[in-house]
Amino acid sequence: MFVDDVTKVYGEGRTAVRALCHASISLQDNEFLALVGPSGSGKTTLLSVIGGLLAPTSGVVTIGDTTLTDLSKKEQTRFRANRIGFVFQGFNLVPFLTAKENMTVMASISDKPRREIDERANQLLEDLGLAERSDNLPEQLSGGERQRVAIGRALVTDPDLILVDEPTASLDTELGTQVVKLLASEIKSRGKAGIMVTHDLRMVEFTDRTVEILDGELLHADGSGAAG
Amino acid sequence: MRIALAEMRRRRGRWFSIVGAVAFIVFLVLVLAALADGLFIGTTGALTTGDSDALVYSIDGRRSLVRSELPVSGLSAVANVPGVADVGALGVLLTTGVAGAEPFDAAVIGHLPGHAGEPTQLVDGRRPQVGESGAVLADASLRADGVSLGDTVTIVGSTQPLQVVGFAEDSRYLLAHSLWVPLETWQALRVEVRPETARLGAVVQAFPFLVEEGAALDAVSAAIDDALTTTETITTDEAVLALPGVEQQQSTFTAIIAASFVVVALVIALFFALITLEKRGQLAILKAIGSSNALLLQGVLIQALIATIAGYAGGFVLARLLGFILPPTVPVAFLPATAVSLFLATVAMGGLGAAFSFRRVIRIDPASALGGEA
Repeated sequence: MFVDDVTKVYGEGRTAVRALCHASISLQDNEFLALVGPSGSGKTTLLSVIGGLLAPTSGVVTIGDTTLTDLSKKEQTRFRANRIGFVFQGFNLVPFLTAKENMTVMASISDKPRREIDERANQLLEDLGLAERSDNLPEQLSGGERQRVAIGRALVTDPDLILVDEPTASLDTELGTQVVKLLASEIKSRGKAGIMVTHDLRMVEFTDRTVEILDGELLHADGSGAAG
Repeated sequence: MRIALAEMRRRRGRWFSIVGAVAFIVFLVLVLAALADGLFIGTTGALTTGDSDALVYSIDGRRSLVRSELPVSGLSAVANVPGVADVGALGVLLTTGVAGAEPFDAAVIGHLPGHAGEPTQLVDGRRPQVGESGAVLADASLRADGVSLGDTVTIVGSTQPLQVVGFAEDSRYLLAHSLWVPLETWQALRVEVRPETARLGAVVQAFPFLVEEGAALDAVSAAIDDALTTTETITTDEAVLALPGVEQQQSTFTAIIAASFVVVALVIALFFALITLEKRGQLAILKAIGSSNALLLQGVLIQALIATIAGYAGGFVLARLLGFILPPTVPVAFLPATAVSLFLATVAMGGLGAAFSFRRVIRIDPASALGGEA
């Protein structure tokens, strides 16, 4: 994945706010990167641009052989469904779907065959220790179990890139650590690329690399060759 | 679609409330429509039951069956107009009938047996024959008053007993029980009950007629009016609407039913607006992970259609149950055609109501799923 000279400006003229400033970064397969910085530093904006959720004002995002920023909104939506996995802050599971259905929901969304998604969901439930809880609704699951379901949903389409947004925000330290360790292990063992936005510096030890962002500028983009 | 169905299955309480609201409105609409149809049939049956394309009235009758007066001699003139396949006669006498000891509102209708205008929906017995004095074909509504085949009914002011030889359905006139008698019997009864009409001679009030296949009704009607010079020929549908109060009755009920359908659309729209607002974060997540707008809108539409169809089914059952317990004096008619058209209208309103949420769903920004906003 390559982020090349991405700038994002909100508003125009004197009210313009520069959320990202010439950000460049690269990420290899089998690499898990932590994006850290204080509130309002531009972490979420950068994650949104990389995930095709937000169009940059300038710059290019390339994932695999696809230049995401060249795609139409509709194509970006399809790309997200098939090639990017998301783990959101909090649990953000669909409350009226069971643990398994929260994963297999991707069969309705992505282009992957339902049978393939179903088989992967069963495997992931097994791998994530949720096999016994597959028919439970989110309200019947513990916090850690919900987050594991969210991780399973992100992995069920076998995406190239996993984007993780503040995974420990609503968890206690012990559970947060477990979840990030699990994320790192799942991403690395499956040879995926992953980016985790976090403000919790204790979690960066489980990642391969840390990039700090401040006022929209990347400060320590080691390995990417581009900073600030 | 699976997500939409799962939501309805697992959050039944919330969906019962919207289905209940739609069912209640549909119940009201169906009862209103049944009353409208019942009143319409009860008021206009005498004209709609007979097989006729148009009716000839006297000009000075101004399209009123009771005001119109035509000499019986005009019958042959109408029959001779090219394009006329068959012509009958209608005369109406609004009076009081007596069955047993019970008086009832009666419309004694004289007609030509075997010709246009004769009741077509025979449900029991037979029709009076030509010249069969004293035989009457009664409207089936009289059976609820205990009148059976072979019974005798009398007309207040007349000494001639009328024997019921058959029953016809939906043949009432202005909500009075109709008694169909041969024209000669009607003329004799009329003079007996209203002696002042004797001076008018042999008159009827309208000539219902059928046109030959392929003949243009407008042209035949114009030819009849040219031949008789003092007549106005109008289609049966126009004659029905010209009956006192029918058009006003129809437009009033139509307005109430239309307003009720607007309420259905508003209830659905409000419900979906609220749940869209409540599910905003969830929808943002689904969009972020790759759900297209089309997929989400399809879910909203399916939920709205299921809610309205289930609501319609509930309202229909309630309305039919009410129909069973209503006394026969309440003129209700549950017609399949009305039920089908109201079903389609309900479903359309459900879809329309849901469509108001489409813009809200489309405008949800998938980027709001990140940063803890969802």
